[in-house]
Amino acid sequence: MWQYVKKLQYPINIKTPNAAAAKVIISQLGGPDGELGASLRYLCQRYTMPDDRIIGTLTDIATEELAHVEMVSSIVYQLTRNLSIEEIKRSGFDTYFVDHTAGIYPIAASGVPFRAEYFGVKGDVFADLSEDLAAEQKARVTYDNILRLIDDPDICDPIKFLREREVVHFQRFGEAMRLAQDDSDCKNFYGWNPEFDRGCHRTGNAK
Amino acid sequence: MNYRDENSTPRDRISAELFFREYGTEIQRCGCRRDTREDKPRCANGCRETENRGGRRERTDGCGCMPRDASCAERTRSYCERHTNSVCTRSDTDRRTESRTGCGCSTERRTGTGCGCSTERHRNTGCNDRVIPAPTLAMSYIPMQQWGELMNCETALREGTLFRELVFPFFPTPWCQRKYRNL
Amino acid sequence: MNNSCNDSRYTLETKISALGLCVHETALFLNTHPHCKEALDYFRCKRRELFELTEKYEEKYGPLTAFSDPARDCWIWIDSPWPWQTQDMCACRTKR
Repeated sequence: MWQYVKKLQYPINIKTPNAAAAKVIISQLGGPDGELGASLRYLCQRYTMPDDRIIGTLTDIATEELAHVEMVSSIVYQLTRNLSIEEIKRSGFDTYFVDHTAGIYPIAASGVPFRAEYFGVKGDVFADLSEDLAAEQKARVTYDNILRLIDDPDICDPIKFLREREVVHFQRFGEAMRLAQDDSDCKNFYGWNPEFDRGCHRTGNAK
Repeated sequence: MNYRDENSTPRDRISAELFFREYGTEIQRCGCRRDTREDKPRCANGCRETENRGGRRERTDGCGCMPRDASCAERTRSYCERHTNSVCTRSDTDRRTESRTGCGCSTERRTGTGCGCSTERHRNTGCNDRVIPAPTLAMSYIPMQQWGELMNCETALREGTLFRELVFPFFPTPWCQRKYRNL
Repeated sequence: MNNSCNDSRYTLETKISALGLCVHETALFLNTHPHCKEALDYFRCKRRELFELTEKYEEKYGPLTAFSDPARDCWIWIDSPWPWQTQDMCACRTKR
C-alpha cells in the first residue's frame, strides 16, 4: 500500500505563469514517455518478477515516479494560474483550455490523452527490464528537449532534477538486469522465462 | 520432452538430453563451461552461489562467490579488487579520461587495455566484477555501481542524486552552460 | 502568515527534502546491493536525522502524513498549503 507525504520531492516555486511552457511540459505527465506511464509500467511489471531485489527496485522507483507525477502536475498548475484569455489564446493553450480549463489532465503535448499502450508488460524479466531501460532514456531525452525550449530558471531547476533522476533510475534498472543475468544461464539467457517457468507454473508434459 | 517428477527450477524442467545435444555439455548453474554435473562446492562460509571451484578460469585465488556474510574470508579474494590491485586504476581521480586503464565499462575495453565487460578484463587485472565470465552476445550489460563518493545532502538535492559519479549534466542551452560554469 | 514564517518553513522543508533524497537514493542502492555495509550504515544515520527533522517540522507546521499526530484540537492535515501551492497562494479554504 502507499502512504502520501505532504511535500514535493523537490521544491517548486514558479513566479511567472507561462501557458506555452505548460503545453510542452504536460507531455511528461500524460505523454508516451511521461512519469505516469513510467509509474504504471513498473507497478505492473513487479508482480511476476523472479527476484526480490528486482521487485524492490521496481516498487521503489514506481513510488518515486508517482512523486514525479505530482511534481510535473505542480509545475503545470503553477504555470497556468491567473491566466488572461489573451494569454491563453496567444500561447496556444486554448485547445487544452476548452476541454479542461486550468485543470490538470494527463495528456501529451500533441493533445493525445494518456493511454495504456504507452507502456508494456511482457512478463519476461529481460524484456521488461530492457523496456524499463529504454523508458528511462526516453524520459531523459524528453527532459533534454524541454530544457532546450525553456529558459526560466524556476522551471528549469525542477526539470533538471527530474532529468537526473531518470539517469539514476537507468543505472538501477541496469543493475537489476545484471542481477537477473547472474541468476540465469549465461550460455543462453533466453532458454526459458524465469517469470513463468517456475515450480508453481509447471505446464506438465507440454511438448 | 519428459519432465522429471520433482521440478523446482527451470533447469530441472529442461530435458538434460536435449540440452546436451544442443550445447554439448551438461546443464550448469552459473553458465561456466564444465564437463561435470556434480554440484560446485559452496564456500565454507556459506556463500550464496556455487561458482566454479577455484573461481573463473583466469583467477587463481578466491572462489569467485559473492558471499552473504561480509566477514567471510573468501570475500577479500572474491570481491572486486580493483581498489587494491596495483594494476587496476579505477579508483584514480579522473575516471573519465582516455588514459584510464582500470576496470569498468569504458571505451578502454575495446582496446583491451582496461577491464570492463569483455574477456580482456580477466586477462589483465583480474577484476572480479561479479558477472559472467565473458559477455554473451545479444544482452545488455550495465556495470554495478560501487558505494563511493557521496555529496552532502543539500548538493545532492540540487544535483538530483547523492552520487557524484552519476551526475551527467545536459549542456546545449545557454542557461545550462551558465549554471554549470558556476558549480 | 508573514514572510519570515514562510521562509523558515520553506527552509525546513528543503532540508527535509534533501535528507529524504539521500535516504531514498541509499534505499534504491541497497535494493540492488543488499549486503553493502557502508550503505546500510549511511542509511541508518540519515534516516535518524530525517526522522528528527520531520518531528521538528510536524510540531511547528502540522503533519506531513495522514498517519501523523496532528497535535492540535482539530484535523489540520487538510490545511493549506498543499505541496503544489506556492508560498504566496495559501488557499485557506477551510474555515475555523
